[in-house]
Amino acid sequence: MRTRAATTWLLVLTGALAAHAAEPSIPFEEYTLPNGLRVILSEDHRAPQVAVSVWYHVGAANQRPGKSGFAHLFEHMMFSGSEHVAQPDQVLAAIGAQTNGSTNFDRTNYFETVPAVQLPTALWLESDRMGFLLPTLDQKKLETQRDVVSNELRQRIENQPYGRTFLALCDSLYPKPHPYFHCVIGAVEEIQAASLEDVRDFFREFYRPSNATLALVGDFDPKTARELVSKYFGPLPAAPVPPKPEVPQPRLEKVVERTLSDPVARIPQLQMVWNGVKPFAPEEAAGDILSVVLGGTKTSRLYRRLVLEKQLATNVFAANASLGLGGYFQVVATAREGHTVAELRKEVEAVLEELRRDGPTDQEVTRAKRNVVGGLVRSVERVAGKAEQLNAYAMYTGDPGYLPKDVARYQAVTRPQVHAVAKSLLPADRVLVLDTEPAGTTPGAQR
Amino acid sequence: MSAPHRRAVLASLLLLACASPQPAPKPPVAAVAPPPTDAWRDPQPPPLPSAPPFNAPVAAAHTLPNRLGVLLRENHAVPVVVVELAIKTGVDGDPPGRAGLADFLGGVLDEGTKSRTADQVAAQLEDLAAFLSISTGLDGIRLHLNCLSDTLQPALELLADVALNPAFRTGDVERVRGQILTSLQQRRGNPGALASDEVARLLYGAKHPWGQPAGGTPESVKAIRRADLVRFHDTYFRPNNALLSVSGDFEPARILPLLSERFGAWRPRTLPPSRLPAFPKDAPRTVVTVDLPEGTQSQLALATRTLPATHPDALALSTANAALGGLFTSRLNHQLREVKGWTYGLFSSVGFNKRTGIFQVRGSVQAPRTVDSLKEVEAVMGQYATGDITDRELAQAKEAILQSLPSALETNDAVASTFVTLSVLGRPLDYYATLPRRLGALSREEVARVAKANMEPGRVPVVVVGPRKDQEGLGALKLGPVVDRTQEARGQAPAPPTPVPAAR
Repeated sequence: MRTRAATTWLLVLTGALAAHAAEPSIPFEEYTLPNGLRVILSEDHRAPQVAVSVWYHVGAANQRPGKSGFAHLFEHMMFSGSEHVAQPDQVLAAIGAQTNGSTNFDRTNYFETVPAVQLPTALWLESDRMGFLLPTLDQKKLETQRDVVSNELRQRIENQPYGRTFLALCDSLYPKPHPYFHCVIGAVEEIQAASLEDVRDFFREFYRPSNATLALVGDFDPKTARELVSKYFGPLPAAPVPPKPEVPQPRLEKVVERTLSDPVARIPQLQMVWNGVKPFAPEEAAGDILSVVLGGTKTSRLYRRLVLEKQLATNVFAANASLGLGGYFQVVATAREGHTVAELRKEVEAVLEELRRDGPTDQEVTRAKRNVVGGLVRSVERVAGKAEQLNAYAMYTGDPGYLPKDVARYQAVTRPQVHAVAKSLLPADRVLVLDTEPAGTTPGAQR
Repeated sequence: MSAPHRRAVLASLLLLACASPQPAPKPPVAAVAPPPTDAWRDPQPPPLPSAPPFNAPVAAAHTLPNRLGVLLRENHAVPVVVVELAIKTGVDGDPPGRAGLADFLGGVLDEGTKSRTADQVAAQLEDLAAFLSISTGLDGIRLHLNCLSDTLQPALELLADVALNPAFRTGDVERVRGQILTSLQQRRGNPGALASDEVARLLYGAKHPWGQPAGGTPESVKAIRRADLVRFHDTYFRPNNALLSVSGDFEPARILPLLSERFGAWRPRTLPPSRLPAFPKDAPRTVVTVDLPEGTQSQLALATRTLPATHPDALALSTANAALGGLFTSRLNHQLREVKGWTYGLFSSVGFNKRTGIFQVRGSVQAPRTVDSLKEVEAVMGQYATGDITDRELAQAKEAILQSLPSALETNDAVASTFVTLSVLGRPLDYYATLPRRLGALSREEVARVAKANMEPGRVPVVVVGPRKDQEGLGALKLGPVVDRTQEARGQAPAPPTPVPAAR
């Protein structure tokens, strides 16, 4: 068995952390085909497998008003067969590949981990749906996937406690005609209204080599890989990079309160949400550290106050979600049986006020930084994880090899910076407050 | 894959269609349009010539003098070490009337030791950038530690302290109790959780610890005393009932001394004899329903006990399952999701433990399609259980199992946990190393025989959780008596029946 480590590790003494921290980097080579497809290759010979991941720089952000859920519906169509690969799922199953795709606010990805010897089949299939989706697309395929996606919405949103709260979050922060309206999943009636022409237009506009990156990570010979990539992706026609979506971020101007009735939740939940930042914005790293200090771990401020001390909540978390058209910062607290959202809110606001006034401690910042860097270290343990990281860095920073810089970005965060974002990102007078109550109960009532 | 000639066939069909009205049916060769320039894309490319084998990691086994088993695997790919400490008693150690005790213990274990408060345990783990998670299963409790390799020593010290010296302070116990009671409340609105509890009761019986609702009932959780936690811990947390599994970037010469330093003084003690009730005998098939009027979907679960992990047919059963409902392309998911469009996914699974196994079909379907979906599932299962598996399906199932191994055993987390699972199940440590050979030897006839013997739907009880108005036609399917368990499952009376509209 070949045991050459394919991720290099730099053991550095980081003074502030007073501990050895391992700093990961992913060796890679990259080039761009004449048609604009950016290709990223990273060898990793630990096991005879290759992770293949294609990122298209299109997501909910590119949807037009009235077409919520469309980018994701389209993702499903990419599994319905292309001109020379009638049944991609069958092809992938026959070679034992593990595969899926996903759509988020800003990008769509398609990925499979395949046996090393089956790299040609993976590239054949991915290139075919990049270039030849439309000839075999028909109404029947579209209708099937409209139903499947509607079922996905029922299963993952409507039948999950607080699933509907997320839709309310998107709709409050990104009101129509913003493309994030109704999150990525969309509204059933708009999904069901999607036409074949909509699908064709979307493909023609966004699914082109210049709007994608292809990452291969695993047990391949780079010369062979380059030849295969050229063979399958090279002939696809070039087209200009589609313009990036530019939609101004709607700003909260006051405290907005919404009470929601959730038929499948049994326990009240509080969410407080602020306007957030874009990926790799200057305040992002400090915002991430702030989210950990606030609600990311069992020593976080909110956990200590609401779960350990006051015992009003069973669960808290905070997240700094950065999105291409402007993200959000979210604090979530789920009540303990018998407690109310009003009680939760009072304590959350007290914790926030202390943090705005005094900032975090050095120890909190140090701990949170270690937590975040430790997560980055672990994110590249799998070949598929590395492929996603390379594509993500390529999309957001232009540099697939950004990982060490990303680590450095978090290492460089200072206590005053975290204090500053606590004030600037979480203003008390511009916040969305979502109170989710189990259906059939009166908000605030004791149960 | 039959794709290679598809384009050629299509082209000739078109040609025939154009040609048929012509009196002279033989067009000159030159008149045939040249093939499009992308015709070379038609055939699926052959695999690359070299096919390096995957060498599944195999644990090196050791035993400390106190009879604590140790499984080791060195891996320097990332600077991480994973240590999983497994206690080989879980829910099966719950005494009568104390359903949820093992889960409670798992929840409170890292909430304070004799020398550390709950907050100190959490803070010290975070200072090491280490993660500790504790999970309780039917036949074990697992403490899973993931740390950076240069902090292995202090992280191990924390793991040992959490496992061996829990304090069970009243404040912490009561706090965790409140959290458990809240989560039990949440489960009452969760169709998947309600279905799982009904399945457990049907399969293991109302008297068996495994037949209780997951996490216990509000009554049983309220009845659990600190003394119960102490007794469970004192009885079962013993080196002769435990296993340490380590995978990662450790120094081979240092690891056993390190483990001995932390776990060597742990004292063994004879375990009490197990007094578990027998599993219920196969009863006539029933259809259990729970009314959850709020849902837009119904949760379906068809489940039965099958073979224990060491049964010689276990691998054939897993293989049979892949083709029936384990893979995305399997019959069940294909029919219910892609052909009918009634679900986001409907799959089957087989799970094993040392005493028995479960074969289960599960999925959420559009509520108005509850009865139709069940009928369809029944038809697919019935056909499959005649032994009707094709060579292509078998090849796909084998390839899926085989090729998933490198990915399934890629991380230290997965490897450490897998070693524990093999050991607990009584499977050999080289189980995955020998899997390709054993899988290769499986014949279609053998898989068909095992499918027939274990997957016949007539013996598989059915659970349906969803809106009652969509359960009206269940009786007409004649699968067995329909039993409404709404009141027991949800702790409340069933909602009055809603009149079904005449037309939809």
